[in-house]
Amino acid sequence: MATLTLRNLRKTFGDFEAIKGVDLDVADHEFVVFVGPSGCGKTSLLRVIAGLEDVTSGDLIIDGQRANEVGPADRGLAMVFQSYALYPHMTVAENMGFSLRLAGVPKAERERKVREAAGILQLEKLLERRPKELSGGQRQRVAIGRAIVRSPKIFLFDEPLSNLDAALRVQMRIELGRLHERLKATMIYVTHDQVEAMTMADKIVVLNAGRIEQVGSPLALYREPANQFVAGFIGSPRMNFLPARLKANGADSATVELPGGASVTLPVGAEGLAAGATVTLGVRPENLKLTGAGQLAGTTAVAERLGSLSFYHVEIAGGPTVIVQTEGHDATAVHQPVRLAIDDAACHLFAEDGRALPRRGIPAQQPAAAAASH
Amino acid sequence: MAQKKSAQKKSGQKKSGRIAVAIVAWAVAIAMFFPIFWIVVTSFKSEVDAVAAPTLLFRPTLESYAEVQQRADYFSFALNSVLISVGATALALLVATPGAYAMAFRPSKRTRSLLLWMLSTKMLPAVGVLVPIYLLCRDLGLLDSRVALIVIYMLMNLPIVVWLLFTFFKEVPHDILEAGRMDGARVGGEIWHLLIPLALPGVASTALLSIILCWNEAFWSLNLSSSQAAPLTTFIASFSSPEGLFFAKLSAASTIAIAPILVFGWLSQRQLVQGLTFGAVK
Repeated sequence: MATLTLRNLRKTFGDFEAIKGVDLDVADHEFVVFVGPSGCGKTSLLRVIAGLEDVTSGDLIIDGQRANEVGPADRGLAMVFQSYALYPHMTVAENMGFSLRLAGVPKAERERKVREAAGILQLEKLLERRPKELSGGQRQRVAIGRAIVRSPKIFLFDEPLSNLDAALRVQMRIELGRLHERLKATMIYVTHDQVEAMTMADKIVVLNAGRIEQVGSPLALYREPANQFVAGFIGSPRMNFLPARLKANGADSATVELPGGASVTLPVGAEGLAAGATVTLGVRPENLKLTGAGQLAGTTAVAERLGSLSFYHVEIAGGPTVIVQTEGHDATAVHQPVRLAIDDAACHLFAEDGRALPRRGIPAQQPAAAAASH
Repeated sequence: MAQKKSAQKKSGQKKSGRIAVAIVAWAVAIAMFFPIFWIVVTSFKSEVDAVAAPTLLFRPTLESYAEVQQRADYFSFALNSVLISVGATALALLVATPGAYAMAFRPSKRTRSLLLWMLSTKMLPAVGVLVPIYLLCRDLGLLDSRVALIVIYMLMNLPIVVWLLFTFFKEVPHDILEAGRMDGARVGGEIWHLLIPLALPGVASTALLSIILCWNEAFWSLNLSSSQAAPLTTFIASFSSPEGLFFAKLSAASTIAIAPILVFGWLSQRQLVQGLTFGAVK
């Protein structure tokens, strides 16, 4: 079990810079998730950490030792691939014991370790089968088992659940969480699925175009996104963004004008911005209410009724379509004029360059916010 | 009604097309097999029958085989053929595997041109380098030596062996080799434990092809070997010229020279076809 530190890490492929200077600390036993849209560099970053790609510049430090020039075989890390990458010509037991065989571990000990890992993953009955005789979920377990057997310093996961069906994915997500708890291992997990990131991570690293946008606990990122990108990426359905104009600018509050002419006053400090500046108001679906007397007027376009929750897509007069979350059964029909009330204390305000304007007087029940500055 | 008729006509066309294809295929096969068939038939004739008007009606005899074996020790030539073709193939695989691995998994901008360049050397006529190679062998004391033939055959087949291995290796998923690297395998282990087993059908058919090409090679063996290192191709040639043409003996020598490789090729046909179409059907 180990720590990992990245200092101004860069990786270029030819003329293309995939990772543009990343600084990151991963603590012992931490479950860190790299999340971002496809092409953001998260898989490249994982492969650089694994040693499958060379570092172009910067430092990669594993357990206090600079490891830039250490080959993948000697880093003591284990990786679970998206495609599982099992050895098709070996049985499950041979797959799991391959690293030990290469390391010259005696047969008896090898078998003991393989059996132990197989026990954790309920693979005992499959040890003599070959990968092609296994289902997707079982292959996934074998790939994880192969990593466990090595007792690696850090586990690396490259979108391991993306080839599984939805039900199995939820189950494996829970099992991976348990496994992390049981092994007390340091794990780095790459995904494009923000739900996986939110549910599994101790710490989420949001990447975009080769840079880290924000690092923090899932709830810190949810409540205090550093910029509009993170705000839009974390949370499902995503945060609504409304174009707005700054009307008045106090020390601890700002008043903005929304499409349709309504004004909202938010507990946000907008220092440095002049009245009249273009800003973006961010409000999550659960902070909008369908009422008779809200600030915004619109028309319901689509209703997604999930039973315990409903999502209404509401076309704002003179503005974008926003999503509103309502609890329980809501009888509001589609294609109806409605009014939306904004919970102004829960709104975010973003400057034109995308950075979040600092919120004031965050209620005490949101302690996770402190981690956002990590 | 008209529809039915046209359908019948169509299936009729289809059937006649199939028959035409079958006829062409048989014609080609017979044309290719006939010389071998005729050699085998002639080998059982007496020298008199062999030069008489071509016929299948004759009194079969084994006298040519007996005379061939009396004049030259077939088995020492056969042993040379086996040693040289297997040795050259093993050496070629040994040299080509790391090369093909590097080209398939760590390609550079020039890998493609390098492969084409290697293959283009096969377009040169071998006789163009006969004199330098002969002189080299003479000066190194390697005339009529198996080592020289093994090295030359290896070099001769290397472009094809590298090309084929490269094609087969490219089919192996990178992820699996990378998983091996994460499991602690170095380049050697990666090749030995993962790449070769995964590309085994391809490696086997490459080896078979190389053995067949070596077995049938005559140009270098005729020029560089006489007795000690001479393989079966030299053995056949020794019956062709010195005392005029003795067709029956020549045929008998040819028959026993090609018999082993024919049987070998027949037995490994499945493997060979599977390997050579491996990339195409995937």
